Amino acid sequence: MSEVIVITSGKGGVGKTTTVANIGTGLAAMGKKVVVVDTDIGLRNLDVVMGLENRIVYNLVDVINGSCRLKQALIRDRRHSELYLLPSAQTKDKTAVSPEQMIKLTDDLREEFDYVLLDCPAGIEQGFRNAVAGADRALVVTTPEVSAIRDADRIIGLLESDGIRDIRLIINRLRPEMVARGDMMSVDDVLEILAVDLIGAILDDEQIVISTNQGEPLSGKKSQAEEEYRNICRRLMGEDIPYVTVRRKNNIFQRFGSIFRK
Amino acid sequence: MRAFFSEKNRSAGYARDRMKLLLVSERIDCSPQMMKLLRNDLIHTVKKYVVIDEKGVTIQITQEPPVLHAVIPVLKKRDA
Repeated sequence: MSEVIVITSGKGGVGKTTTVANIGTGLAAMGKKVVVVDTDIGLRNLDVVMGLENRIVYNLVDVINGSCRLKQALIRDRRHSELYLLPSAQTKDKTAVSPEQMIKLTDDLREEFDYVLLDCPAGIEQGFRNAVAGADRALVVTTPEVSAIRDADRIIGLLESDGIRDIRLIINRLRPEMVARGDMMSVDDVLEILAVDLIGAILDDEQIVISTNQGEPLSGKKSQAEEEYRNICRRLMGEDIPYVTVRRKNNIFQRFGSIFRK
Repeated sequence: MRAFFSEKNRSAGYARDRMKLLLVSERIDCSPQMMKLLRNDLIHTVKKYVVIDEKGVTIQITQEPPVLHAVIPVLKKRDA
């Protein structure tokens, strides 16, 4: 049974595209057939994060216009044979696609893939409407900052009014040393404010920058952030993985620690 | 060492409290100013019927499902 999942945030720059690339790669590495779709028309980005920017021939708008067949536009990942990218168009704008066309596209993708991950543009305008139209469930990405949290709350409200019931939260770029001294909101603080269920808490981790530079998501060996992305993948597949956070220890931030509420 | 920094004085607690207040009012489309007006109107209305401690009146809206709670201390006749 296939699932269409939209990854959204409201605010830009909180890590939607990185999240899509990492979760897509993680699910593919676990043997699932996955397509990641860049729905940000005019501001193509998922391709560079995946390291596939040089292989684009056709794009999402070409597929929707019927300029090419779906399979022609799908780009196979270099490292995972069951992972594909459907890139966005760079020359069109968001009005080139309607929500009805997106529903048709996601329904076609459902037949081929176990997971369809939609990278949603920032904002709440038509690009958001398009991305959300065909989704079964949503992952909302936020950071522990007031601006991102406020936008996440708005997005959660819009998703709920669109009839999406399954909404889970990813809290990105946590800095445990700041949380420990009370200068950054904790996972529990954010969950209390937003009143939504968590699916992952990701540390602010240099490896994410490195992997993105290289265009190879999940390429780090000992990265806590990448490990948590893998945990998110398992939770998406229905596994019950305990939540761990980082605790201060002899000035070195080491893994393991308290389990917090789900 | 950590006892030095009580959570109240640090920025995260402040941010959390601000966001809680803001989002509750945004969700029901009622600004903090409107809440103030609502509080005044409530006091004004209740005062017509019973003697109350105006300074002790608090109103807040809790989440999921949103419910408006008003606490209005009523004074006994002999206190008033």
